[in-house]
Amino acid sequence: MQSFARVSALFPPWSNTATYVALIAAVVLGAGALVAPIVYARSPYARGQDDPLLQPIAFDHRHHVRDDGIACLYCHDGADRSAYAGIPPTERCMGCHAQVWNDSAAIAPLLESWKTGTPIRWQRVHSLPDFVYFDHSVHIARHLDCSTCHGRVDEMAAVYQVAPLSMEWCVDCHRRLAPTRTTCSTCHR
Amino acid sequence: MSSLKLSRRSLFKLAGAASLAACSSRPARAILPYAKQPPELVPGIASYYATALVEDGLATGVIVEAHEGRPTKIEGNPDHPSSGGATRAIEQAAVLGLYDPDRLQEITERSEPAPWQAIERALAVARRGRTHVLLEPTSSPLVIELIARLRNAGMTVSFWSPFEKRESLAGNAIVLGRPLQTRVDLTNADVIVSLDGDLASDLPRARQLSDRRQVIDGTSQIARLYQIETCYSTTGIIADHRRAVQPSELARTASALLAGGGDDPWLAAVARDLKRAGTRGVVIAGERASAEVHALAAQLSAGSQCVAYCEPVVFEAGTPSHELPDLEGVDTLLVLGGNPAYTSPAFAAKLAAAQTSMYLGLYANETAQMCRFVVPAQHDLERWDVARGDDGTLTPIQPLIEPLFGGHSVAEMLHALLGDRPIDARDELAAAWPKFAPAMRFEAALAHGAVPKTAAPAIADAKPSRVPINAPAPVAIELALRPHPFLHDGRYSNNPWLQELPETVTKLVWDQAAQLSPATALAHGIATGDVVELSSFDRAIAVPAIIVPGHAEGAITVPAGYGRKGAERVAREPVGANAFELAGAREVRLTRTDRHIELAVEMESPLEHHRPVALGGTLVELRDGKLALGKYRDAVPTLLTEMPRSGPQWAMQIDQTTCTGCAACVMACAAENNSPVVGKEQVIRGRDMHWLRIDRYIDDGGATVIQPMTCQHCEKAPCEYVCPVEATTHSPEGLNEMTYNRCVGTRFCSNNCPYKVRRFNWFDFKSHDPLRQLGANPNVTVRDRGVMEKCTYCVQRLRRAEIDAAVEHRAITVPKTACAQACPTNAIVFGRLDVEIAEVRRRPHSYAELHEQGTRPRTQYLARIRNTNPEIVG
Repeated sequence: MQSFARVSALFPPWSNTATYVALIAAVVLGAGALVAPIVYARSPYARGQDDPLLQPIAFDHRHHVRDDGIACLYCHDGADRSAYAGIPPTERCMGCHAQVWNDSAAIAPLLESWKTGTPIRWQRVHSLPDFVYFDHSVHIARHLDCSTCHGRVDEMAAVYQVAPLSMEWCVDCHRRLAPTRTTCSTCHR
Repeated sequence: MSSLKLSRRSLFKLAGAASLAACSSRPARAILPYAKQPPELVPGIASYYATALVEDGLATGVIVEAHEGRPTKIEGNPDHPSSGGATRAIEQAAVLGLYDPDRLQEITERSEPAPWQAIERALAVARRGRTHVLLEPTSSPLVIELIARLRNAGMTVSFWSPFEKRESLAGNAIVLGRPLQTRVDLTNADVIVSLDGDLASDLPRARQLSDRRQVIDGTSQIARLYQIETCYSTTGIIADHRRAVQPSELARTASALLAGGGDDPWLAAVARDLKRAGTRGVVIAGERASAEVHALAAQLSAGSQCVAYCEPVVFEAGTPSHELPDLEGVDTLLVLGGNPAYTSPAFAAKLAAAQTSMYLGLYANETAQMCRFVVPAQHDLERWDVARGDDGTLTPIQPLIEPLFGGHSVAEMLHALLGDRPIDARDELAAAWPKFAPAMRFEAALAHGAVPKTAAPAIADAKPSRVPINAPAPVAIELALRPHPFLHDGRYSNNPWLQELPETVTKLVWDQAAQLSPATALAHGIATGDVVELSSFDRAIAVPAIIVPGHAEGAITVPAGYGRKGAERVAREPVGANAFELAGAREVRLTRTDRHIELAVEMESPLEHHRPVALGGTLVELRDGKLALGKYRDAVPTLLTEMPRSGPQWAMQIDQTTCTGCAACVMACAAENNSPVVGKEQVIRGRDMHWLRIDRYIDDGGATVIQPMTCQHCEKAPCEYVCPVEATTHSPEGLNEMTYNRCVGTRFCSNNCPYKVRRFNWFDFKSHDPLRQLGANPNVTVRDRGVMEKCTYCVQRLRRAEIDAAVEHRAITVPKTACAQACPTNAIVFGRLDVEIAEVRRRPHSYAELHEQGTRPRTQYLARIRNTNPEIVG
């Protein structure tokens, strides 16, 4: 009789499964490591969309635009002639608020700014990188409505960014509406 | 003090807000609008103001661009006769001088901070004692009035600047009887003989000369320019014939010219040419030539329609009050501007002995360090004043910005000295204005930047007499002490832009070097970089030498502006010595020392190595069709696909005949495009960052051809094919674009560029000084470490013009690039290929650089055409 010594298995039976799982996990994680930042960068969160910022004065566009019927260009008067739309100087706010709501606690920082001559530190909602040279005036001259990029500000209690403001988003529109203006130096220089 | 009270409820509110803020993916960025916005200002739109920069009392009208109140760029004022729309490199760099962290920032007494009252008290004492006021030369009617009051009060006043117009006035005094100022107009000149003349830094003359030297084709009748000089200058570069002589030889040459040339065939030919030109011939002398040379030049130009004489524009110029004072018996000395302790070492000793001394200036320089009271001055861009241009045109000066460091003006100091009550500088000027210029309202003059028809009238009866002029005898080694073309007498030495601007002929940056000819160097066993000692009696300086082909034999040229010992950090950096130590010396002893210094020379070989690089020829060759430049123009066959074209097709044409190499374009480019300064060591490694460089080629005969070289915007650009990330691409308008935020820094593009015009940011070269950053152009990206950059054809100006046209619904107004706008001779033309450039490109001497490479450059050149005298061979 031949006797066989029983050799114990080197690997337990579940090790096959573990290997499969590990391999799949490596592929998934590897792909994920590549894809996740790409997805993240495009997410509304990373782009800062739909994120109303806490402003030093709880300025309500709904009230000023809808109730009072003030046009965008009344306050943002650089938009049709300058690169920057501009935030109105304290002086412009005081044009009305010297008379109306001038005892309201809500506009105390405004009165403070007017008295001391120090600017109000508004928080920037629409922020482009420094290497992008966007110009409001030419877009207004081409008859784009403010809401095309800024959304319905007249329906916002606190302004938030609607558009992703990504290069993809800019170029998409340029390809459709201004096909000759897709060269790099249109915005980068 | 009230204690901070925080309820539990508000603590949670704050904590909640803080954590919410922290949740946001974006870093908080604030926008600060004005509390009260100035009515003329819209954020994002540049404002432009006419004002003037003053040097030695003479104003150059400029237009300054300001962004939200910060001056960022200086251009020439086309309405000002001293500018005509052009600038020198010095004016272009003035913005950096404004934002200089080394400027004096507070009043000091014996180096301790002091209030303005201390100055007033000291001046009150001075008013009663024997006081001398030393000013820079001035033409300001406001200051002239105050000087008259000072003299009435028993005080003495004198003026000093080492390189002001002195010799020309002295020379004219010899032949005209009184020190009149020469006024040259080259509009109708046919033959110009220049005795060490410096036409290139004289903006109106440079423009007139270039207008008279426009080569359309071989039949063009252009002016002929002869230059006789010691050291290779920009005028020598554009001259048709040039001769290098010792400084003292100039007077002998002029004498010989007056005698018809004598037995020198070259001079005889020049004399005949001058005679043939009749009233359209002119002999001019440079300010560094001696009084004798000026007297002879006046005699030679007698009867020329190109020369007139007028009263000196600078107050009391040519009189003894323009010499340094003796200070004998003076209790208080006021030095208001300048740096006499540096520019006159002999005066420094007297200054040290002064009982009480006060200095008004921009820097803690040598003079400030010797004075008891030091008051910060206002920069030209910070003050109200009035001055006259070189021709006498009245020029208002208005500030672009509040004094950054609370400086004071000369007028303010004089008022305080006279015990007047403080007066607002603008009010004072506005009140006095009708007296100075009754024909033009103050506000209108401010907007215009100059008052027309206020030039000094020509004196009709000024006819040079034929008094005999003695020429000095030759010496073995003659010293030529010269103002540095960019640093002048050292007043601009703390400007890093000017320190890093290559001198046109030597291509040297950062260091001082004494120039000498190859033969003189060989005779003394000197090589470039060897430190030599120059001595005259008991005075000696040691400076590195540089060998310059075409320099006069037996002469050595030493530029001033180095060896600065003040507290200015940049000015102290370069190697060199104070050339003013040798002021007045004619003959020097030249000794080689054992020391050797590595000089930062941006273009070492002056040779073309027998390849067709910077093309040129004579006017006769062009007329006879012997230049055959056609083969450097026609399109080379290509396998590459055509780029799609749309919109205006931008192009540039550079005229090598009129380009003087004055480097105003290089400085204008750096100022417009936020080019960084890299320092001497990086320049030696070939890492200079100028987008535009001026190549100079010296042929075997010593003739120089200048070629401004920048991105050629090739239609078949070699750089574009090799970029792995498409950071450099081609636009439908023909621009070769560089997108910094895409660049990963492989440098393949630079390696594949046959013109070597791309610049790489090897380190973080940009300025981190918040004061310096104020001067940056907000419309151009400040580049970071690791990206490539190059000329963009000032794409920000093109986009601005396109947007303005779109907003105003009109056709585009073609903008000028920064280099073309600054150019004193209009040698750079920018525009559309089929409109502005079409005519110049059809000229027979237009060619494409490195044409055989098939790059089809958009920037092309007009060959250097010499209008040689057929009687002169070689």
